[in-house]
Amino acid sequence: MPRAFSAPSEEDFAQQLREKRMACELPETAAALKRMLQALMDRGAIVRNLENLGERALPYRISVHSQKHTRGGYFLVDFYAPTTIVESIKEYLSRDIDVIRPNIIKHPLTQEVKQCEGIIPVPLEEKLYSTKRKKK
Amino acid sequence: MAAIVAVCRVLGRKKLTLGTAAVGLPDPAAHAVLWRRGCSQLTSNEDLLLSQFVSPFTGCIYGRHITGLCGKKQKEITKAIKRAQIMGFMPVTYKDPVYLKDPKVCNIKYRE
Repeated sequence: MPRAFSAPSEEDFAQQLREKRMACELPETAAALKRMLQALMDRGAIVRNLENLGERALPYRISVHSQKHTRGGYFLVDFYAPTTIVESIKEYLSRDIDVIRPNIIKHPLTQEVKQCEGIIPVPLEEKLYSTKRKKK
Repeated sequence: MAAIVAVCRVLGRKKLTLGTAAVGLPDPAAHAVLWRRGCSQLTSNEDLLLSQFVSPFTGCIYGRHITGLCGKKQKEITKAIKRAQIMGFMPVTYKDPVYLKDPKVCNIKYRE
């Protein structure tokens, strides 16, 4: 489940807010999801959106909590949270058996897009001969 | 679409793959297959885009001389691919068979 935060526009939040993402869970979903969102909200995160990316076969076998998984449901949770709770969320999620692979990342849509100038041609002939003066 | 890809490619490259670029996207909903100049941001869900820069046989990420991307974008793509692989969105040792029929973006020739 990817989670996303956007940059703070509200004045209530004095802390720096970031966007985060998360991935993967096992089939017993509803209860596990509720648990997770509850954990998030307990730590002061504001859940913005929860998307289900479908259940499909994992790209490779993942063994976690002494179990091997081949299928999983993917969930994406958008949330606002201060950066301080990331660690505690990560630690909590790693202990949850139903979560295969939790990931928290910054929300990609808040990063600024820089104009890309393309590839600048470098004059290679100048690099061919060394500019150091040889002692004679 | 064709002009867009040419911008990020190496200037003065002998084989400009404008022909393949003009083939266009298979699916308009997958809006990020080709690069735009003020490029769209990379989210790790975009397997369609990221799988184009990965070898179908070994799953290795193509280098700059094959993809023809500029420095920044190559780095971004590499990071996004690694992230998607670790998060469990993209397979590591092969290319997802669903994406095998994509238009060729990279300048690579396979032996028949």
